[in-house]
Amino acid sequence: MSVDLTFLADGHRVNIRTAAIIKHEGYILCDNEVGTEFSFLPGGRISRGENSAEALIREMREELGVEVKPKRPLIITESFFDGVQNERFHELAFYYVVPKPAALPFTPNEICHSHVENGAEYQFSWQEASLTNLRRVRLEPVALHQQFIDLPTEPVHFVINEVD
Amino acid sequence: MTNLTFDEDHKRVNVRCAGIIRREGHVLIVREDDDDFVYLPGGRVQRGESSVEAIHREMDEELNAQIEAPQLRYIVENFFWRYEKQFHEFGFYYEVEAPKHVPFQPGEICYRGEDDGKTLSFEWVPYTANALCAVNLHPLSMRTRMMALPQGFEHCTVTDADYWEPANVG
Repeated sequence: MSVDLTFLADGHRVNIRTAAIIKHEGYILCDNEVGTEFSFLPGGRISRGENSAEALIREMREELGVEVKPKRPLIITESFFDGVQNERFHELAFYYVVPKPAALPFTPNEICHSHVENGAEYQFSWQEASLTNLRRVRLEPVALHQQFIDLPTEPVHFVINEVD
Repeated sequence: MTNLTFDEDHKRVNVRCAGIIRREGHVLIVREDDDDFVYLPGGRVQRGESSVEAIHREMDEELNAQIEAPQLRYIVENFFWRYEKQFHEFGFYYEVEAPKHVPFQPGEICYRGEDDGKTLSFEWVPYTANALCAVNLHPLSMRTRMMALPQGFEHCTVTDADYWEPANVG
């Protein structure tokens, strides 16, 4: 049985995630859980015993029904932030650049795919990769918007501190 | 503070930072008590703490060193066997300038410290793979990565031979 890398430590939630930066013609694929106001990049928690690339392959199968071949993470973050229910998060995240899977339709500004998991519905859409638009769809983490728009040429590591 | 170490049965998830301290073809390693293996100085990252903050804290605690501008060189997703546990470790390795007060005396213990009641003995060892094998440096992934450090940092995923079948590995 697989165990997600999510742990409670002193009331803080520690999460270890993997995510895909999928860009196409100036757009970026975003994921919104229906009923919530935030967007995320497709991806999810790494399971114990699984590396971040394997986790991404699994998540892309589960969420989008596509096969990807992640090479190396382009952005690695350590983030500290507060969740909506006042829970404090400490998150490690690995962001891989993934070419647009051929099977995934490119239909800007409308829902191109949806997926139900544990009773929640997730809608995927291509969003214009501009600061204004990423702010509008509340893509998290905000601190990486500029990186998502102009991808770094070499791997980068960031500490993102959104708490005091 | 709470360390980012999560155990379940014989499986451990761990977030660790370590310092790569090099001088004249050598790297500084540390032994806890009379362990039969050594590692790079450092320790577990704590909850709410970044690896950068952690490396500053650990260098202070272990070596009494107030370091400046540590440079991230490796982020390793590492799977290995140690302390009777199957480790899934996220390692952040920072190049750190050699503290001036740690004498350069290869071949002998150059510095002693203490951590959690354990004696720490530091030594300078040539940073070749052979020499690091000879002193049994853990994790194994670091034995071949001390001589040439990447520009910027490198991310790697390394599964040691002993991760799956610890009983078969000396």
